[in-house]
Amino acid sequence: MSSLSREKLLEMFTWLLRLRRMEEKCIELALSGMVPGWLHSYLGQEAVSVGVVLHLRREDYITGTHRSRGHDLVKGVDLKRYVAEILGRKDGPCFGRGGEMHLADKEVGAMGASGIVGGIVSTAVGLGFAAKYKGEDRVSVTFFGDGASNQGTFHECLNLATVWKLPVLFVCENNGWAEFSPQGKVMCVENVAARAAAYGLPGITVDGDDVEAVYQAAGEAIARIRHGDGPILLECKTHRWLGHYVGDPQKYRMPQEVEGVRQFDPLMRFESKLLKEGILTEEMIRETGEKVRHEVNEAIEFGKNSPFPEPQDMFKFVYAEEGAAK
Amino acid sequence: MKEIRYVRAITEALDEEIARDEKVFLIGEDIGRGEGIFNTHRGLLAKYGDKRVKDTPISESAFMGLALGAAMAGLRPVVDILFMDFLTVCMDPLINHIAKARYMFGGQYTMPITITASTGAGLGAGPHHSQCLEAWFAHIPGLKVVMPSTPYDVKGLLKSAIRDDNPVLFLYDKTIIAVKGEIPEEEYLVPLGKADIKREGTDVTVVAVSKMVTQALMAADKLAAEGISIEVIDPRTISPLDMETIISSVKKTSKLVIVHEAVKKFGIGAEIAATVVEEAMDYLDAPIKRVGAPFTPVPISPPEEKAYIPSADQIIEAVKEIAS
Amino acid sequence: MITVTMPKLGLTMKEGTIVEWHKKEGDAVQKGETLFVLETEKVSYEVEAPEAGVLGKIVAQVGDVVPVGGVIAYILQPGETPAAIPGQAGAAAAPAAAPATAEAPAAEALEKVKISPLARRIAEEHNINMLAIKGTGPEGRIVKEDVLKAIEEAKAAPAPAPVPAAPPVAVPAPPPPTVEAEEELRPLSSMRKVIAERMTETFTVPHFYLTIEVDTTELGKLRQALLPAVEAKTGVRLTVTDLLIKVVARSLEENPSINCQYADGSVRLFKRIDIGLVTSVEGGLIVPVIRQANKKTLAEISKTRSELAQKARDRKLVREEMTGSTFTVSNLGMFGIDQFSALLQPPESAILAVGATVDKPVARDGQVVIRPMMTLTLSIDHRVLDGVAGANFLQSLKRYIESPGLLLL
Repeated sequence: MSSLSREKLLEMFTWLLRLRRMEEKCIELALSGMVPGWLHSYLGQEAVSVGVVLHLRREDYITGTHRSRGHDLVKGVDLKRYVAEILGRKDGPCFGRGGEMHLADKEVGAMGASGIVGGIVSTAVGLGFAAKYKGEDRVSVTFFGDGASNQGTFHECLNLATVWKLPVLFVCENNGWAEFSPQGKVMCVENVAARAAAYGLPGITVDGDDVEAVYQAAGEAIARIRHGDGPILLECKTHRWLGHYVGDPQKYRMPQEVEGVRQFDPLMRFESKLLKEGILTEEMIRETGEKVRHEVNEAIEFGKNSPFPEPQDMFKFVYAEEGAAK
Repeated sequence: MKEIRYVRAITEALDEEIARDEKVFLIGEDIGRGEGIFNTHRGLLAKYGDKRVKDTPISESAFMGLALGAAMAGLRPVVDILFMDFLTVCMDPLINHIAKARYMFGGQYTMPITITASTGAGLGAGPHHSQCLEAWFAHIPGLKVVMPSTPYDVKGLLKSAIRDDNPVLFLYDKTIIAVKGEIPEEEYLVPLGKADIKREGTDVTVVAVSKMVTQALMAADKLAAEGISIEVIDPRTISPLDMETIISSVKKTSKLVIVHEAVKKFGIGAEIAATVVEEAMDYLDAPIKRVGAPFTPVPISPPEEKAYIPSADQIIEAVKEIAS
Repeated sequence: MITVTMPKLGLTMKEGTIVEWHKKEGDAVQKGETLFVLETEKVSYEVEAPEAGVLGKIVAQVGDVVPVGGVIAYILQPGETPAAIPGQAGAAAAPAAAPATAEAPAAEALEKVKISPLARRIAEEHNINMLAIKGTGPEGRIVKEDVLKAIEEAKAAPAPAPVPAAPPVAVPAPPPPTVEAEEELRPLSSMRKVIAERMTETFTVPHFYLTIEVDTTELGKLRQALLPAVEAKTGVRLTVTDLLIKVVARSLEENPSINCQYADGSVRLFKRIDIGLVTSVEGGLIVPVIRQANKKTLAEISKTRSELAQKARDRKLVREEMTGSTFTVSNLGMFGIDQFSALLQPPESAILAVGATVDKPVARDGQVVIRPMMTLTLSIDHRVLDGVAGANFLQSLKRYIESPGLLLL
C-alpha cells in the first residue's frame, strides 16, 4: 500500500491523465499543421513532471527543454494560454513568441525553456543563485535529457552549483534517446546520476515511469535542497514513445523497441495500481476522464481561436523599453 | 575635476554601482582575490565581501548562464570575462539566451546584465588574448556594445551600462588602461548610444573606435600642421550606433574615414560606410576609406604585431588620399 | 508634354545636326510619324514622334547642332497649352561648345560621368552639365569644388534669351484609316518597316551573284572533334555557322577588297572585320554583329554568337550590337534550303548566302563518291567589286572549308 494520502494519489492520477490527453490533442494539432515548427512529444514521460513538480511551491522555479510539455502545466501554466502559445498566438504567456520550445510563464515560476540541448541548465543555476543571494528558501529545478548531460555546460553547472551549495535540483529525464542517438552509442555510463560523483553532489536514479517513486525521491531531494544542503542530481529513467518530434519516421529505431516502450506506460501502471488498491474505481476513472477531456477541449478551442500577433509586433521586446524593469 | 587612469575609472564605476544598488553583484574569474587580471576590480572584494564579488571556477558557460537566471530573478549581474576572446566559450548563454530572453519570452523579463571584457593587441598576447570582436556582437539584436576610449567615458558609460535593463557588452582596451584623463568629482553618467565629437574639424570626418581614437587625435595634430582639418568622432557605443552624429558630420565635411583595430573586413566600418551611403550618399565628395587590421590573426612577435595594429600614420595616409 | 531630345544613336555619338523638319509648329503629329531628320558623322536618321500630339515648339532649327540629350522640340498632349513649355528651352540648340548650363544631356551619358555623389547633387541642383566639367579629383573625378567653379563661370556667362510663347492650338483627332471589306489593314511593326525600307534600298544597288559548291567533310569532322572542348569551355554547342564565321573572317583578311562599302563616289575600305549574322526573330530579322571576328578564337565566336542570338530573341540587343557590320552572313541551311541569293545589306557591298549541307555524288580521282556538299552564294555590289574579286574570295572560303587545318597557319 502507498504511504501517500488518497487525495495526493488522486491528484497525481488526474495530472497524469490531463497531461496524456493534452499531449494527444497537441499531437493532433501538430499533424494538422497548426503548430509552427516542430512538436517534441512528451508522451510516456509524464510521471517525471508530475512526480517532481507537485512538490513545488508557486514561487519555486523550473526551467525546461524542447520537450517540456508537462512541467509547465503542473507548475500552473493555464491550459488555454498554453495551447495559444504553442500555436504562436497572442494569448500565450510569451505572446506567441516562445512557441513549443521556449515557453515561460514567470507568474507561476515556469521560468523558461530552451531549444538548445543543455542550454538552460545554467539559467536554473542562476535562479538558485538569486534565491540564495536574496536569502529566500526557493528551490530551482531544471529538467533536461540524457543528451544534455553530454554538454560541457552541464558539467560546469553541476560543479559550480555544488561549489556554491546552490538550491538547485537537476532532474535528468533519461529517455534513452538523444535526438536520434541511443544512449549506449554516446555514453559509457549506464546512469547519468553517476556523473554527480565527479562534482561531489548526490546522484540518485529512480524509475521515471513510476510516478510514486519519482514523487518519493523528488520529495526527499527538494526538502534537503530547501534546507540548504546544496544541489542534487535526480535521474528519472523513462521512455520516449514517439520520435524526436511528431512525424519523425524513426528509421533509427527498431520497431520492437518502439512498440515495447508502451508497456512502461506510467498512466496505466498507476491506474491499475490504484484500482487494485481500491483508491480508484472505474466510475471515478470515467468521471475524471470526462472532466479532463472537457478541460482539454476547451483549451484547444481557446488556442485555435486566439488571434495571431500582427507582423509589426515582431519589433516588440527586442530591447527593454524605458521603465520595463519591475 | 580630478585626474584618473582608464582602469581606475572602471573600478570607480563598479564601486559606485555596487554601493548604490544591492541587486548589483560582480561575477567572474579572479576578480575577487585576483582583483581582475588588469586590476579592474581592485579592492572590491575587501570592501563588499564575497557575496557581492564572486570568484568563479573557469566555467564561463556556467556563470554567463547563471547571470541570465539571476537577471530573471531580478538581480543585476556584472560579469567579467577577462579577455573578449573568451566570450567564444560562452556564446550559447550570451547569444542564444541572454540576448533573446526578453524577446523569446514575450517581454516577461528584462536582462540587466553587464559584461566587461578587454580588447586590443599590443602586449604580445597573441591570437587568444588580443582580438577585437565587437562586430560579432553588434550584429545580435538584443545586445548593446560599448567601447570607450577615455577615462571619462569609461566611468560614465559603465555606470549607465549597469543601470541599463538590457544586456550590455562593455569592452575596454587593455593597452590603454594606464592612460590618464579628467573626470568630475561628483557623480555623472554618459548615455549609451551617443557619439562624442572628440575634435572638431572641417575637411574630413574620421570615425575612430576605442584605442583608435587616440591614434586619430595624433593624426589630427599632424594633419593640422599640413593644413588639413579632421573631425574625430568617437561613437563610444557600437550598438546602438549613433549614426545621426556621424552623418551630420559627413554632411559637413563630405569625406569619411573609419578606423577600428578590428580586422577591416566585415568590421563595423563596413556597417558605418554602408549606412552613410544609404542615407547620405549625395553628400559624399570622395570614396569612404576604412582603416583596420589586416585579415590575419593577431601575431605575437613584436614587429608583426606592431605592423598589425592600425596606426596614426595609416590614418594620415587614408585622409590624404581623399582630402583634395 | 513630351520633350523631344537628341537621341544617342551609337556609343560614340555626342551631338547631331538637324537637317530637315517634316513638321512645323502647330502641326498635329501621330505617334511614329517622322518629325525631323538628323545627321551624325555616321548616319542620317529620321526621328519619329514618340507620342501623338501637337508640335508645340521647335527649339532646334535646321542646321543647329544639338548635344545628345539636348532639347529639340516639345509636343503638347491633349489639354495642354504652350504655356507649359519652359521659357529657357533655347539653350539646348547652342552650337558645339555648349555652356555648362545646357539642358539635361542623355541620362546614360550622365550616369557614366566620373563624379562624386556630392558634386553630382550640386550639379543637378544648379542645372550644370556635368559632361562639360573637367574633374580635378583623384583619377579625374569631378568633385564639389569643380562644380562650384562651373557654377561661378555659368553665372558670369550671359543668360539665354527667353523664347516667346506659341499661340494655343487644338489637337485634332487622327483620321480613321480606310479598309475595304474582306481585307485587313495591319500597321507594319517598326522592325518590318525598317526591313521594308532597307530591302527597297537594296534594289538601287547594282549587284550580282556568284555561286560555288564546297565539300564539308573536313569541316564536319573538325566540328565533331571540337564540340566537347568548346562546350566545356563556353557551355555553348559549336555550330557550322560558327566555323563559317571563322572561315569568312580569315578569307576577308586575305581578300581585304571585299570588306568595303560604296560611299558616294568613293570606296570605304575597312580594316576591322565585323561580321553581321542574319538572325530570324519573331516578326522579322535582326542582324547582330560579331565584332573583330578575325581576332576571336572559335570558342569566342561561338560564345558571342550564342549570346547575341539569345539577346536578339529576347529583344535585348542594343543599337551598338546590330549596327556597323562590314560583311554579312545569312545561313538558311538549317531550314533545308539548298541554295539561295541574299539581298545586300546596304551600305555593305557583299553578303554570303549559305545553303544546307547535302550528301551528293561527286567525282573524286575519277570515282563517284558521296560527299556532304554545301552551296555558297556571294552577292556583291558591282559599283565597287568585280567578278574576279568575288571568285577569289569564294575560292578562299572553299580552301579553308575543305582544309580547315589551314586556319591554324
